[in-house]
Amino acid sequence: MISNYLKIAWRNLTRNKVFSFINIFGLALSMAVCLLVIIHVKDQLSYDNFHPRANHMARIISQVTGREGNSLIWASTPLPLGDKLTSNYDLVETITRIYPCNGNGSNGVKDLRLRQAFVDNSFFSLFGFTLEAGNPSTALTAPNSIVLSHRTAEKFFSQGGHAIGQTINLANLGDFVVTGVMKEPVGKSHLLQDAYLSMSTVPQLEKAGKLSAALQQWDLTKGYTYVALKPQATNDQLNTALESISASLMKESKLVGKESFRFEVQPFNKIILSEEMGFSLGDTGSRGKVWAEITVAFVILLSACFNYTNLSVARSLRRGKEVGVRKVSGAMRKQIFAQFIIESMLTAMLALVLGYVLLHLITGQPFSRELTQSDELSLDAATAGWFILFAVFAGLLAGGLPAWALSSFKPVEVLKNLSTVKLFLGNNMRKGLIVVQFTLSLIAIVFTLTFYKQFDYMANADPGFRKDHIITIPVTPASQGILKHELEQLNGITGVASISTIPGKDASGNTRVRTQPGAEPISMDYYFADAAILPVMQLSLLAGHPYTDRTDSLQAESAVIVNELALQPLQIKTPQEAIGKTIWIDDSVQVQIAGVMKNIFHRGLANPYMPLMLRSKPQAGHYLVVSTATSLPATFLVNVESVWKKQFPLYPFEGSWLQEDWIGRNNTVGMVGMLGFLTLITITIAALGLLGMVIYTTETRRKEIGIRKVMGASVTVIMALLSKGFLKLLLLAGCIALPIGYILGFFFLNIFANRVTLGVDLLLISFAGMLLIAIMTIITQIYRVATANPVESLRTE
Amino acid sequence: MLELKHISKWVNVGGKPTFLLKDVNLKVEAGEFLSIMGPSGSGKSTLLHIIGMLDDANEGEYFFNGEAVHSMKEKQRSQLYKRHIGFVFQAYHLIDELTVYENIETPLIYQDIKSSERKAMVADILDRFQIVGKKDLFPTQLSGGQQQLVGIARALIAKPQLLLADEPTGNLNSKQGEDIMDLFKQLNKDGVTIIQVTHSEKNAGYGSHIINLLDGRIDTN
Repeated sequence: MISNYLKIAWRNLTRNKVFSFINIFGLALSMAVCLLVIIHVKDQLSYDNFHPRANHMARIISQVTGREGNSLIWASTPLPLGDKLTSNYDLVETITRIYPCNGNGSNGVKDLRLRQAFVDNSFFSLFGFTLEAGNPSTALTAPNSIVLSHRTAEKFFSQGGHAIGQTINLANLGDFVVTGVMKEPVGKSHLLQDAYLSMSTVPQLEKAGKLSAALQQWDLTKGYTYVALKPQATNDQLNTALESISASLMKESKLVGKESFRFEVQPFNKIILSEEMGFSLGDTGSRGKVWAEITVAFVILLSACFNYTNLSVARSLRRGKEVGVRKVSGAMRKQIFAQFIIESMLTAMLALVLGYVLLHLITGQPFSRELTQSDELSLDAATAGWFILFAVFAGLLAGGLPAWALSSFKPVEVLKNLSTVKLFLGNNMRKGLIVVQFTLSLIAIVFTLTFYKQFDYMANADPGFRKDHIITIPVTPASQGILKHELEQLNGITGVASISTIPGKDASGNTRVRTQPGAEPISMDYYFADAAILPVMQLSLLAGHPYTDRTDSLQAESAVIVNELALQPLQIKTPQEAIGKTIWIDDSVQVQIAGVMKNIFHRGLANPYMPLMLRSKPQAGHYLVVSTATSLPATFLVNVESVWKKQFPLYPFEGSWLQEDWIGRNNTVGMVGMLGFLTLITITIAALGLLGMVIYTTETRRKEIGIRKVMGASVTVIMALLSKGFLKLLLLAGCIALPIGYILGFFFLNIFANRVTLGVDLLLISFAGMLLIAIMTIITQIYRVATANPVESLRTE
Repeated sequence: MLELKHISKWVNVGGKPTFLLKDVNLKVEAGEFLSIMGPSGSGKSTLLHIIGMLDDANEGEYFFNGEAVHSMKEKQRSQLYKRHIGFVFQAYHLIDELTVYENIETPLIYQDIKSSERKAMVADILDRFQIVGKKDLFPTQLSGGQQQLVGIARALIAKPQLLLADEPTGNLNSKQGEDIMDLFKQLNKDGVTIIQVTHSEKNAGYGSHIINLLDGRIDTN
């Protein structure tokens, strides 16, 4: 019987090619989005599944209540908490603290930025990470031991096996001996450290002043505590223990700055996709983002499924007779129901295949990387299973209602006269559906256009400093002197300056500045730069003059340049007045204002102007900024590189054009692409839905149209009559969507300090675009019906 | 074989009941060939639908082979009629998406008959109606008479005791109509009880028995 149903379903699909195309294509579009989301969610859920005791593991987190009563959750906990827990309570079997401390590491040849953390030696017995070299139980016991991740070991020593016993010098922390190399973990983990250091190193580092005291400090933000419970212990018991620890601590109140806090147990498998936390560790994914993705995908799927339902209603007029005949032939209702469900399943499966093809087409596009983070689409059995399960769900969602309704037809009624059949889904509800679909599409159009306009503006706007014809080169402070000298000799270079961070993304730091000791401080961003930065980046001075560069760190810092915006909080009225004024930085450094420069968007255009100061400090520059007078950017960069190679043959050259970096940073091709893609899908589905509605309506009004034509109505009159109803729906959608889109766009733009205006023109263009698409969708069908021969539609059998 | 007692059926039009059938009493014996005649709207089709269990009466009793149809549940009734009754329509009502073979096979599928057995039964009837050559064609590729022939084959495939026909020749030309009526006569001779609704005196004459309906009542017996 199933094969019989499948045969009929297939014949129906191939016979009604337009309908089948609309159904399958619409579902496939929405499925492509859903599949993308399924892959992403599945990837997120696959994190940290490889730890053998994951079910007995937990992390301890802090809940902090501020003076104003606002409650915050922090993923971090004080470092002494672990000792307290193991010495006073008998609940924990294994415990490890993680104390992150990122910095640079060097093996004498290569210098790499490392994500590193001090951990207890129980680290490898608690987590499922394994070592490819070294002894996991002792690797992190001795002070100054370091265990490298597989990739880091490869970067340093090309072959990981040679790493054991080698020395890595960590900036500020001293020399560490490699005692282990981790295997590439079998699954993904939120813990992403490149190197783990032995916790036993910390006391001596604190003693030497290389690390600020933390090991015995009840500072909530320093470390992380992971535990595995004893078999008989429960999370509730641990919670009670933590409760009493925090209660006794509160009495001693050694914690700084916070009114109240307590510790909580977070089960280990709840870490991934947990709520947003302060001081989070590693990549735990975003629960909000995942839910948003699922919601968007589901709305799009629902939209496509309603199209299927709509079209099935349109076709039920034709299929009604078949139902009648089958019932007369002895079919039970459930058999008819099964037949139509199988048909919708078949449609869903075909849509799944097409959706999978679409998924292949969009994977690797910039916008899909927003979701999948990979260019490769690998399909394992479990994912395929989920896909098929999902298609079955989609088939039920789309086909359930029509199948239920069609199977309820009474043979006497449908065989006698089809037009007397009561159709399910009230007309108003179906109209409402069209309005909802177009409202969603229009909101999506308005929002996407706003988004695009804003980021286009930000990529091209003037930040207040020169960004064209500028090359930036990352350097180490020690090596820049010679390079700077060599570059200045190169033909076509107009200036070379040194700065601590490239403006446009972030400041080097933020400090407190006072007009006199004890006064209310103002917060000010700063860069360390030499005076040459002013001409090189075309930062213009409103008053004063550049400072003289310090050549020696023994020489006291004496002069700074502040921006215009810093004047007002310093209670200085005009730039001229500021020159020579004394200010205190951090209460300890007393400097004079040498010059006042124009404001720049040093934190990028998303942020407003902020008080800024340029300070002089020898050997603080991490970048050389080179201004050029060339019209051949590509070849010129090669010239600069050859200068670098002459000085540092072993190190790769990483110089780049600031202009390109700037565009790259403000480039949201991926995000715009994703939004555009989703918008395209919503509008396509809405258009397909409209087409279905038009076909249905014209189908039911054939007789009326025939009568009108016999009475003398012209084709134009009929077309106007048929279109009027739909245009009203579209206008209604416009009335709902445009204000919502405007408000959404308005709030979105408010995030940015520098924003485009959201004008009526953009709203009108969006609406006109939608109207055009809708009219193109319905015009052929309406024309076909309006020109049909009335004799055909009025003939009765 | 079947007996209707005081059968009435009405619909409410503007709050007032309008009778389609009023107090109809009818007894049909096995082997009869009954023709129901009457003008448009006299209730012929409604009566046929009630006999065919596609429709319920509002009042009265209906016995089929001694069983009380009026007090049966939907499921029992469906079981009863799918085994004993075959239907032929004026507009043939073949399923356009199915071939001749598949159309004829449809009732057997719903009676859970095994595939091999179905094949034999369909082959048998195709042979009997001499339409073997047409078995893979779709209904739209056939003439009206041929379509009706398929419709009758479908109605007979499950070997029903009773064949109900609603204007079986209404859409056919006179030659085709005669062929169909001759076939009915032959079927009746082979033991199938037939009830047909018709406008045509001539076709009614093929029956062994005629009743006339007028405004929902049996006029002359």
